[in-house]
Amino acid sequence: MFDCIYDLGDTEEKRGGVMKNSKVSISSILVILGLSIICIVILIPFYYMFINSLSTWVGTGKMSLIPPTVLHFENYSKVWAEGKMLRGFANSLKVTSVTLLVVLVIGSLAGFILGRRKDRISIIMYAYFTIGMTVPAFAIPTIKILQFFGVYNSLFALILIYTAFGMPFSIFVLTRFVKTIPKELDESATIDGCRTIQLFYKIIFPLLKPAIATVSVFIFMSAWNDFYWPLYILNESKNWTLPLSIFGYMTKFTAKWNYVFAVLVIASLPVLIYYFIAQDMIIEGLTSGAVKG
Amino acid sequence: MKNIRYNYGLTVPAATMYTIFFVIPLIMGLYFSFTDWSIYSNEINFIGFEQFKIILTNHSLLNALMNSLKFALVHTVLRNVIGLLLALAVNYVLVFKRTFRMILFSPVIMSSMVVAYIFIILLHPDGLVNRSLEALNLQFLSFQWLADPRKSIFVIAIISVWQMTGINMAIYLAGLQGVPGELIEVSRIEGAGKLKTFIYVTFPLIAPTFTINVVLTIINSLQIFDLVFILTGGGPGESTEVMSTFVYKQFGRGYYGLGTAGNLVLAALICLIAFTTLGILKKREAEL
Repeated sequence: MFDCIYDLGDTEEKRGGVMKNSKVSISSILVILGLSIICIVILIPFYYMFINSLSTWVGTGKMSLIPPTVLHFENYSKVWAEGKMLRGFANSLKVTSVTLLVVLVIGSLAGFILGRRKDRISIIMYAYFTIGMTVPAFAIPTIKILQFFGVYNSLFALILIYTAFGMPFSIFVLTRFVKTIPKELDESATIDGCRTIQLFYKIIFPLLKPAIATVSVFIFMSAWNDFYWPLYILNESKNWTLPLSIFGYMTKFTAKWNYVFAVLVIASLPVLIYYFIAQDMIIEGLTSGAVKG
Repeated sequence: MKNIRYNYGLTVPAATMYTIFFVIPLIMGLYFSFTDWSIYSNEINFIGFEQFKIILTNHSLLNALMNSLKFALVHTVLRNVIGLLLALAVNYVLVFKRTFRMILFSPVIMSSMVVAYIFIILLHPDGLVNRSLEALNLQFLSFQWLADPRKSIFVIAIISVWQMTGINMAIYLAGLQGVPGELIEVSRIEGAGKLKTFIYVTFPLIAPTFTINVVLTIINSLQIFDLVFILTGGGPGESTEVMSTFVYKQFGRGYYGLGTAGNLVLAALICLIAFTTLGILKKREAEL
């Protein structure tokens, strides 16, 4: 995706001056060297986390960057059981997947209508939704509302607020995308006798794929990694999401760093694997909202 | 053509969820900021601007506000300068583009709490950072990274820069993609140096990207919570307390009115700074 870009080095090389060529390659080497050093700075904390998660209590005390000779994979099973990580995983998965589903269904419907109508109401509604991208949520009144509905201290409460907070970004991306789909498509489908909602699910929704991918990445990442709202909302450990389970584990069994690192590896591995497989989609998803703005 | 009815009914589910769980709490927040709402009294009295008088004279809140601003300034400047330099570098090299981009972006996807715990250990008095400084005979650079009342807020800012700069880099990269190569070539043939080409050709073309990046980072900075909460808990004393940890503390103590007022100050501040910056930068963009 980035390979199609012209840059200084590229154009000069194409002109093919020998002297210029060697000058360019020296500066490229310096840039590559600089970038490599920064990459190492980025990678050391990850690497350090991995090797120490496989070490012993004594081993972690050495603060060494050399991997341990004996790999203690049992650290993982120990913290997995002690920290009740499976429960955290299950809770996080429930919250994230239901939120994602609801956001995509109701967000794309709203985006469809707002992208198609051109009257004043649609402009006002679009502004009403997107203002939420700037204004932060009010924590204490939000909790009062959740208590009013009797859902405070439950996973359902998290789903409700993540869905609500996900609306501004989703509608922002989806409305803009719907505008790029030609209206003639709607008209031909209506002639075939589709009703608006059928038209939407049969014709429009499948075309929204790139926007859906962007929204999904954004909603998934923000819900999966969120620590702030569970801290306010979930008091009982049976409801703890993954980040809160880690926090609970840390406050209960801190001292041994090999176990701390093992917990951190367990928490980050799913996201890292997902990133490794779908890096283009993820980077695109997390930045495109901003770029298109 | 047949008239298709784009029924507003289909926006009702989205509008309902958003209104009940985001907008109504916001309106409630506006009201409760002017009350003495707390768990210590059964009634909630409207005390007008009293709450804000309390805020303006409340040392803890002013301190949190100052810290949020200090953090936001350092964080926004560093993330944008480093992010832009990295984007230019990645855009410049011909090999390993994707690998560089992937590695530089990777901390962004991590949960901030995981990052916080890794750095607690790295910055421990006996941790890797101090040991490395010792080995290089640079002990004098070391201090109580996460327990220094004056400097720790900046340490947290730098940790956040380590984690989040990838996103600024990716946004700048996307902006640089939109710069036509021909223009740069023309400028170079005309004899402009690399720096001049950047200042007069590339930068004006990526000005909108710059605007978005700066505003986004400011909003992001002012809402910082996870890193501060786990790294220092706002301490030592209240030296690293920021607005969102302040609100959380008031919630824990039962001072709902004060907490909500703090939240209102934060929201107003974010809107004010974001819209002012947007205004200034948009104007600048037009001039360029």
